[in-house]
Amino acid sequence: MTRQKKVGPANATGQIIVRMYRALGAQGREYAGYLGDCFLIRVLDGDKPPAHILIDFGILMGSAQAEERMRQIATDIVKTTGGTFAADGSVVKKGSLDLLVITHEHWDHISGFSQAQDIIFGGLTINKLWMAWTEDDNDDFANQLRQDRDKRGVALAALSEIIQRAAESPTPSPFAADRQVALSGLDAFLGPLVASSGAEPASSALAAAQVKAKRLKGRDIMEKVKAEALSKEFLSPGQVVAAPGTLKAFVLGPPRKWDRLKKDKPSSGPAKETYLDNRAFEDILFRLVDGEPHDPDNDLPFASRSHRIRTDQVRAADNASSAIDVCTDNGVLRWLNEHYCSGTDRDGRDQSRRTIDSDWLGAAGPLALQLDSDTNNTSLVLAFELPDGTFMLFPGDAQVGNWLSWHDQNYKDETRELSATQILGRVRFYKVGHHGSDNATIKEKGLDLMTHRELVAAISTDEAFGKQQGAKGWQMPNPLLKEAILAATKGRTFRNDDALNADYTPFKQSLNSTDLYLEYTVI
Amino acid sequence: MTDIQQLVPRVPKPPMRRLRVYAFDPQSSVELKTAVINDTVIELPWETRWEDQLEPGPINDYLEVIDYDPSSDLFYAPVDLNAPFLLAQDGLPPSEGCPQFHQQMVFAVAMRTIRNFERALGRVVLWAGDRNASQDTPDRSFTRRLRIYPHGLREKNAYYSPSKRALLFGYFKHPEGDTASSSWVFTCLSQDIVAHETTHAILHGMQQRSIESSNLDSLAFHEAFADIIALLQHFSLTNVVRHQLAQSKGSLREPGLLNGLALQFGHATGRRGALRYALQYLGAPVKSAGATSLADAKCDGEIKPPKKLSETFEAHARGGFLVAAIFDAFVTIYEHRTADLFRLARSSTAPDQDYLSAELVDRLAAEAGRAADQVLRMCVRALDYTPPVDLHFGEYLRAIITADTDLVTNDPMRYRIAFVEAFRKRGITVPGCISMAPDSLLWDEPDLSETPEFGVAGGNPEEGLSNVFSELLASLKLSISLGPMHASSVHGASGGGRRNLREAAVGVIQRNQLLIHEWFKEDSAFDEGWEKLVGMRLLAFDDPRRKAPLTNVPTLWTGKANENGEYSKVPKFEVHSARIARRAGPEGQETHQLIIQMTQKRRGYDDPIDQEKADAGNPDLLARDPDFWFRGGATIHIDLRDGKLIRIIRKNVCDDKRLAAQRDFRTGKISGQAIGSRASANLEPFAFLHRSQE
Repeated sequence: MTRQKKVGPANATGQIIVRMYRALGAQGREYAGYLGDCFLIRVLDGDKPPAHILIDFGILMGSAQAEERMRQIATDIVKTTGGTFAADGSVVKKGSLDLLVITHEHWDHISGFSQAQDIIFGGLTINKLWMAWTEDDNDDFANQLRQDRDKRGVALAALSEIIQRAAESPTPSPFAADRQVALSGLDAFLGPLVASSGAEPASSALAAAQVKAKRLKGRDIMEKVKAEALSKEFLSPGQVVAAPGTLKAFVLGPPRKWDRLKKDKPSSGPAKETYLDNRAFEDILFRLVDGEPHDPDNDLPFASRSHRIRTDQVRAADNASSAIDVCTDNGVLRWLNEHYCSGTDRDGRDQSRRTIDSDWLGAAGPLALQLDSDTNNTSLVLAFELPDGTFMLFPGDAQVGNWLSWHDQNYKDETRELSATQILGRVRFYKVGHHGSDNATIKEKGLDLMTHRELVAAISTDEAFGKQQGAKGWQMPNPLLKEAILAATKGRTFRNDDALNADYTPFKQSLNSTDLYLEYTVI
Repeated sequence: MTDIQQLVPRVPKPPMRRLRVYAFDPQSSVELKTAVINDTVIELPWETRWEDQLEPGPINDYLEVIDYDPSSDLFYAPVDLNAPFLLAQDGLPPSEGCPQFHQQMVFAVAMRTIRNFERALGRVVLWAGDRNASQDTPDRSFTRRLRIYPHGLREKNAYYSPSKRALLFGYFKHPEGDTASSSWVFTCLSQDIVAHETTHAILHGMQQRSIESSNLDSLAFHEAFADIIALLQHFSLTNVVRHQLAQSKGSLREPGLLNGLALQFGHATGRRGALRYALQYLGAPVKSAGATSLADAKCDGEIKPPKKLSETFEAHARGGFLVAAIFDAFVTIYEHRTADLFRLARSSTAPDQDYLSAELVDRLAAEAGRAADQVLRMCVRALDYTPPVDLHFGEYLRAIITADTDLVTNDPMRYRIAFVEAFRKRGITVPGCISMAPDSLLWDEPDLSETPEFGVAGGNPEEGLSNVFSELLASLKLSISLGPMHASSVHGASGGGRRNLREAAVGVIQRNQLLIHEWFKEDSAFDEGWEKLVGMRLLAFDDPRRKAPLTNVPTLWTGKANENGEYSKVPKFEVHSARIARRAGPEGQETHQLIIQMTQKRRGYDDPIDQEKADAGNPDLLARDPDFWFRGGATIHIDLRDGKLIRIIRKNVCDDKRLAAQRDFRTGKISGQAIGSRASANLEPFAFLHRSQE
């Protein structure tokens, strides 16, 4: 039985094409995919000038040849939007971007604005910028959220740098740890730190003193983009706004409710949400960031001074093997030195692998995870309505709370009122949330509702690279989710780490694969 | 002059060393209801002649407490429990503000847990070795002392670190700050947490491969078992049990101190009660609208017990089913044992009396203590009856039933039925058994029908096997030698003229392990039969008797060189333990067994096609590291009374179905959670397990 191929009126009026960049072309090829988001939507309509929408422009920190790849992509964006370059690479004519959407402040969504800033800002006119309400400087709640996020973000990024430095230093430090283990690799989303005043001297002896004047580079990027765009708008859930190319954008998230924003995972254990605050650890971390000295009354568990034996005193003590009397001060120091610091015990057995200097830093892991989820939940979620009434869904990295909140309101334009369920039912193109991780696509109130027959999904990931991140490796995509999406799309799922010669027959000619991008013609 | 010495009166060593501890944790001391019972004393046997003396730390033969607090950049001075003032008052009084008391308590609780295991196992507890130590150093197979860091972490966590053979306890600020009893919470002051972590370490020492996660049950079992030990130990604190039973009118099914774990920790982490309750999953299942997989959410954050074992993947939650099953069995046994007491008491009391008489409570507490002790011993003994790798809950039930049958042939109190029923109620199944009747759950005796070749060595295969095996047994050393001192002091110079039995035992085990390894490695006429019996590959690569291709097991060059100077290649395998257990049953029955555990590894690949290629010997794949190691192995039981090989509990290394199941588990097909591919993930399996719970 042959099915009628779709050559409908939609094709006659125009085409909507989504380009997912992956830039596999740079030399060396130490990678097989692209972990990060960069989507260019083109709306072609007969003789009218095409409309261009760019959604995010970043790659995960630590990706191989990140800068070359981002510059390659930037160049393509400028060219595609009508810009031209001279032979020496200088811009002759600027491209024109009708709309730039930045979903949230994570390195893998915005890094390009730093790595290729000359090309993207020099070669592109950004006519309009959309960000979530959480980035609005005039919104008190947003400012409060951002300050909180900033504080923790800087603290963790600083910790990440301190750990790295400690690992290189020959002297023992309580911060010598495996960064991937301690922070689960999540610092890669935060991006690097920069000096905030610019007057910062390059070298400083004390790590803490340095940190105080720093902030995340990601924040700089957000400010820079806001300044460069000709106009900007901060969107709130429930809004329906006109988008370039006669599209309509339905704003589904991020939610304005605190509990939704904090929700990153399905509740499963009792009192899950209150479990994460680790004040004793955070206190120390924040003091580190603020450059303050230890506050013994607050930071140390035991009040009496006599209980405190400083580590350097112990390390300096000699551990002569004669009998040690722990009734004397000197004896105590020597006892501790012999039992903890010396590499062997009295019989010469090796004890050096049994020290615990850095194990406590593992506590940063849950903290990093929570910050990561909190930021992901501020993702701007847009559903673009196409001329035929179907939708393209771009949820950024929205996590559970954000997804659930889409159902908290209805969406009204001049003539209709749609529910989130109705919108999801008409989604024909789905940008899979957060590179396919398990808590960024929900089942019952999410994927299960995407019932459109032609549903196609795109995953911006590099599964092999993800597996090398963190101590356990990330699952991008999560295997259960991968199967669920393959089932929902009847196999029409394409990924950044597909091989160049991947078989795209289920897409019937509408998918174009190059080593720079994957391009899908939606209608 | 010699007469004068006799004038000094000799005071014999006291039998017990008494150490003060919290019965539960510091929180129970500030609550009126429980304060009276929270200060208690743990009695540990005084160090025997053949043990090292207790040193400051405390440090003894088993443990070394070293109090380093890296997050504060501080050390705390060690407590000397032999100081006269401390001896006179049973150690330091309970106090949160004194790190030395923390050292004392963590030591006392860990030692008590160790002694409980030794009693049940009938042998000394030994710690796992250092896998990273170089060959031939003594620490590679055994670590002399388990390290304890009472303040090693600054978070809501405590864990056993297999790579350091150390327990790390965390402390943190109470989220409610000054309004609560105290502003800091120390996990090393919770009996339950200390017992739990110590059990992890003991279990790892018994089965070095048990920390590898090869199926959903393996780490869950570790967690569940540690919880069970912590729970059952509650019942040895008689005055506490008495107090609690009086309050609950003799019932053990109401949530309370006895069947809850880590109350203060639970409160401090935002729970209404204990961290976990033994019977958490016992109540009627709450139905919810089919929300299960992926990231589906219930917004209210209410406690919704998982409905089924088959839908639960997180290790603690999954372990909860096993804990509930065993605790339920214990409560059933307790109820069975006390039913007559209740009937007797009822006939003599006024109908409206709503409290139990003190005498009845005493008797109930005694019965609860006895039942808990028996159940604890059943659970611990069963460890010797589990396969060395890839354990499932159902197999643990078989182990419990078999171990108990070995020691107590008849079952007058129906303990085994109580266990089977409790497991069945939790949906823990035993694949491959025709029914859940206790007798069909017994591990099978070796099936010799497939290996008739043993008949050559005796009248029938069974006798033949015994004859073949006796050759090995004859060479083994079955007890420590009581000869001149120097013979046993090879493994420890600290003895100083005394005999340290623990180290002598290590020497015997290591020697036997070596002999057993040699014996199986040596080419013999029965290698083919042994391969079938133990489910491992033993025939040399070039052996003409080999029919099946070798499933890419790493090799060992060995044997004698042939005329060309080539050594034959033999599959590599490990003998993990060769331990002798002497156990006494309740009626004075005794068993005396040799327990041998052997394992073998095989290259495993995430891609089934790679697997096929590698199994066929593809050199490219064999050159690189495999995606994972797939292990098989066998636990062999020998009755030392007559030298008969009574049982082989095996996991075949050639079992491709099991391999496929492990692959699915690894790649997350079952749970949606893949196991990390990076090596560092395996360094601290318990740290991640505990943290990921948050």
